[in-house]
Amino acid sequence: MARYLLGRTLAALLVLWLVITATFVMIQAAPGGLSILMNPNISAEEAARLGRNLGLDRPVHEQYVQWLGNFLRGDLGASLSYAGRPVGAMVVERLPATLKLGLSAALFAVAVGVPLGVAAARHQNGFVDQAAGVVSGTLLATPNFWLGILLIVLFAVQLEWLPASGIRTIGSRGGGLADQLAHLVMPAVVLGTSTLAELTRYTRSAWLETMRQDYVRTARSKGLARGAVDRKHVLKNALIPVVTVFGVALPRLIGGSAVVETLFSWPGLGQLAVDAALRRDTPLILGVTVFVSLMVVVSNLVIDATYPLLDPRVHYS
Amino acid sequence: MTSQLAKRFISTAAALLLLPALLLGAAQGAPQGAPQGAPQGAPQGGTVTIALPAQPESLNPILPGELSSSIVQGALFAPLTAQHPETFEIVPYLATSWEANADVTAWTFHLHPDAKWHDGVPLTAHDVKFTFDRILDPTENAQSYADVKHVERVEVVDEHTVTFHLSQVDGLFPDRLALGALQPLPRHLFEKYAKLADAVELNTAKPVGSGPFKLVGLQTGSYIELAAFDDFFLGRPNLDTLVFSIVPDMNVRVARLRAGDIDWTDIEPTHAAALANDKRVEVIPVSSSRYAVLDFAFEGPYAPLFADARVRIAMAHAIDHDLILETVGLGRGWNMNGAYIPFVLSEIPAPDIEPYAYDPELAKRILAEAGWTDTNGDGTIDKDGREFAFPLLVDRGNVQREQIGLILQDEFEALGMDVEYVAAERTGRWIEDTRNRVFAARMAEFPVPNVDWFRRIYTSDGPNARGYVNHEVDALVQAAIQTSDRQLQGRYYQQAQELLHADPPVVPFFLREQLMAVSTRVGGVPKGELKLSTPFTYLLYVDSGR
Repeated sequence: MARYLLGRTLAALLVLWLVITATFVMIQAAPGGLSILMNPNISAEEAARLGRNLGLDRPVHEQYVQWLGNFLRGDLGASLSYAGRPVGAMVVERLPATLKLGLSAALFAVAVGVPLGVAAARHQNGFVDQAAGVVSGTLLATPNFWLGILLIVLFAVQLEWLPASGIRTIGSRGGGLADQLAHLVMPAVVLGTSTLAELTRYTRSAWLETMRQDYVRTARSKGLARGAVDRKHVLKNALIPVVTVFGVALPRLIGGSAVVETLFSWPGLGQLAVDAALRRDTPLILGVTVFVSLMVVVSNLVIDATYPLLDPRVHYS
Repeated sequence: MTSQLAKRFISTAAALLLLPALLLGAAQGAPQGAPQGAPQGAPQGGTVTIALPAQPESLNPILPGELSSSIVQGALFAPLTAQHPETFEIVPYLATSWEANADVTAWTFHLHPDAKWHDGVPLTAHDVKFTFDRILDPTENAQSYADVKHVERVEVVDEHTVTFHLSQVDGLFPDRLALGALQPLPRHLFEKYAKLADAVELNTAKPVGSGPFKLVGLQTGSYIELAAFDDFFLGRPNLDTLVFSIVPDMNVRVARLRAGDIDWTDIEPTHAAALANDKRVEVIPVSSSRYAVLDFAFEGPYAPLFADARVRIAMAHAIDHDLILETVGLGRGWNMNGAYIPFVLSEIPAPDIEPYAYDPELAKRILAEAGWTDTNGDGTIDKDGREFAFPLLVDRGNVQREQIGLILQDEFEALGMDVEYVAAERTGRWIEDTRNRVFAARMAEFPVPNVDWFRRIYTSDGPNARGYVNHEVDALVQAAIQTSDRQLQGRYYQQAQELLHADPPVVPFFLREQLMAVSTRVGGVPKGELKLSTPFTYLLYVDSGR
């Protein structure tokens, strides 16, 4: 197991370096530059002066090597557009909001999607199955931006049940648990719906596939109650492919959804990533990329660690 | 609605013209009388929430930042002079009066004696000198360095009097100070830092300003909470709290306005219909000082196409401005009719010109006179073996300019031109082609918040992206800067516009009307763009009875 983890860690570092380098190259290759220098109302000379003061007149490879050297020392540099704020601090500041939203969306997707998939499988071709198919298909086809606007108009504007956006009510009235949950509901639902739909369908398929296995037929023929068969024999084995699907979706959920965070003014990494990209702020883009990449790597490791728990035949060496 | 707003501006302009002594006073001193303080009798207390499109980059007005930064800084930091959001007149603020010396190479400003920083320390001329000494250091990254680099030195005359000594004549110096990015900083807090940018916490999280509101809380990416500054020198604001809520998506801003979460936001014309029946919201049209243009290149590979003024005049005749205002602007705005300075700068008399009327047949005749005809019958006009083919560069993301570009492509192709529509990212290829002067014709938008911007855009010593040179215009603008007599300046700019009209470097489209949507519970709202309005947020009040 130790060798396996060491191997995965080394692979993760290589992936991280490739992602960072590719991101840096793409930023430099794109036309334009730091947005404050791209103001058409300032002269080229003035833009050059501002760029020199920010160190952007150095050769590109020199900027890359310096950034990488600082990164290895744990320093992600300073933002070029946010008045020199340390990038590390900016990212860490946004991390709790992104994790809160992503994990809530994941919980929502699992808590609703898996049972719905099981119900659909157990009532195959019945009303529940048909309804689950329609719902999951609709959710997969619905752009989450459109869904978000719809929910805001319905629940915030028309019914006034929920706040339209933000992470808390501003001022002393806000910030309590109930206030935070009220702000979390809509963005978590919108972010989690596509994963919910995927999990519903994959759970249904996996369940039906597992039900057809010989050991399940044997268990039922031995007279075990259906519930016992489902819990002891079907559930664990059906979850293996479901966990795989969830493992693919988890990085997307906790990596910061730019669309959902922008729509709901959720101050997370996704919103920061959009701001950084719009401003062409290289250190900030790289800093966000590093964190998101690390979260993807860690979430994949966590998912891989669950397989031996579900299937004793799986072990790492 | 458009005609009502135009009438309001005309009456405001007439009122201003009836006060020549007041305007001429700018030559020897500022408009007489202190700026208006918070109105007596307005309800006290309450909170107003304003929507911001993005997280401010900086809470230090001297360092580079974009619109959201300027909006918040307007409430935090007092400028020496301010631009009135409705009349665009330069009004006293931190400086109660000012005067120029005889040859307009030095301007003396008298500071409000009661001005204080948010930490209670008095604001003095030393703070102004400190700030400008830093701005004038080219390594400091001050975003307005280019606007004031002709300041030779700043002299502290006494605790509340400061003189700017200039290396050249500048009759527009008070106007420059009103544009933002030049507000004084607290010397006692910044002087220990080698560079302004080193004071990261002051610049991003704990600013200490002199404006009507002070920072009390913020969550990055979510909101900025300001509280009334009790010792504000123009009178304590009526409100207790002013909140800037960061809402990037405009549709969500409108939804939050309707839900009562925010009180004030800019909106697009398409939202006006949705808000028309909402009694809790008032839609206020305000004039911007911005207009879109078709910009021709006078340098680069396509310059020979547009070198002849007759070609540009012909193209101007091919444009249906009324159609563009109706279909693209949804009727919200005013055609510039050949003027280059928006009428909202009412101290500049309108140029005496005949607008180029929409007449495609006349356009074709003028082009033929200039030698452009379809000699080879391929449908594209040509001259000396060169076809009239060019790319029209449009900055992607601005719907109005994208739409205008499509209409222009159609109209110019009807003249026999071959126009390729090229949509490019504004901070990408659009700005690169602009800076490198390799574009042929481009869509752009020009702000003209004051007449100094006219110099920037249309004279050969400004960051004039198109390489246009007109020495007569240059001379008139130079003459305008040589005097602080506002009426004389107005006449010079009037004549400059007439010259430009005869040899047009651009085709100006309509002056954009902006829409603000404000909760009806809020009173004292300055009817102008947010950026110009936030220094006047001390006038806001909440009236729950409205």
